[in-house]
Amino acid sequence: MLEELKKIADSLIEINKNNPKELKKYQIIKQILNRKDCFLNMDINYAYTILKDLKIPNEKLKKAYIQLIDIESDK
Amino acid sequence: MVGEAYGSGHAFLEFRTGKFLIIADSVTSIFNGDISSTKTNQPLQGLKCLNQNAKTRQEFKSIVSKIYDLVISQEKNNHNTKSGYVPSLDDLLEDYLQLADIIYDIDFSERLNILIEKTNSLGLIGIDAFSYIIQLKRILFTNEQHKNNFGYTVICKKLKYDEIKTALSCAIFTVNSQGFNVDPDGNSYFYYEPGYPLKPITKEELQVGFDSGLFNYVDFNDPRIPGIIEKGEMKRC
Repeated sequence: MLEELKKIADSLIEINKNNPKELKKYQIIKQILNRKDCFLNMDINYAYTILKDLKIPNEKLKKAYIQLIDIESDK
Repeated sequence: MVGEAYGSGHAFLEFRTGKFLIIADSVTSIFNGDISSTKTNQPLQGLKCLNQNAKTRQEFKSIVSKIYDLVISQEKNNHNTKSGYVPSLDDLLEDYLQLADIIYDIDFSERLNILIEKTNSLGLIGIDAFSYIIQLKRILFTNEQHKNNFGYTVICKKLKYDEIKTALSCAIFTVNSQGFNVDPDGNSYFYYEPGYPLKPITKEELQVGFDSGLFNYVDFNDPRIPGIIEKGEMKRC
């Protein structure tokens, strides 16, 4: 799941290369995703906000989040 | 001892996890002294295996040694970070929040559902399970919710194994969507034992458990379970 999110972040970085604000946002998201156990160390509100920014559909948010806070989520 | 500051005396907790029977010294063990000692290459003082079987004791020693090595390697990784500013996760999140269009606010019931779902599917046992749940509640609930809506208290439950009395570590979840003080009769309680799903427990069952000495708080300064009355001097495991 985490690797999938990183790929999404990479494609959004590419898409937004001419939009400085969005580009910076996705670059920061990519840095966050590269931190070990990032979702286990951030407030749920921020986690959902990031997932929404990565275009995860509303109906899949909870399931994605539950998987990401698994004790071995860096897969 | 009752009335003394935490850490001023030694309180021992005997517990069983799997096949290991362990005694932990609250002053020198687990959350303070031994973790620090490990980082400075000092031997562990407060965690001992009481099993009679030499092979089991050796197995325990091997597990502790691996944890010891893991902590040391993590400390080395922290010191090997490249020179120059490396933003922490909190720094990155702060930068991100300046750029996010909208910050979501997840409602209490969804937060609670997630915690219950993760707890019930947890494959961890013992201290790992309790530590993981503590981490989950840190990220799932706000400070206000910790104060008013969700309580998590690790307690001990007396057990008897043949001639040996020992204690089982377990936990009580207390939930009240209205607020512990707003609706004191609206508390819901759940009993948690690692390896098993959460089990609802009534206030009366909990109260009887504490009154009879079946349940006890681990330490004098531990947070109390909302709505459960203590009678007289706190009993120890």
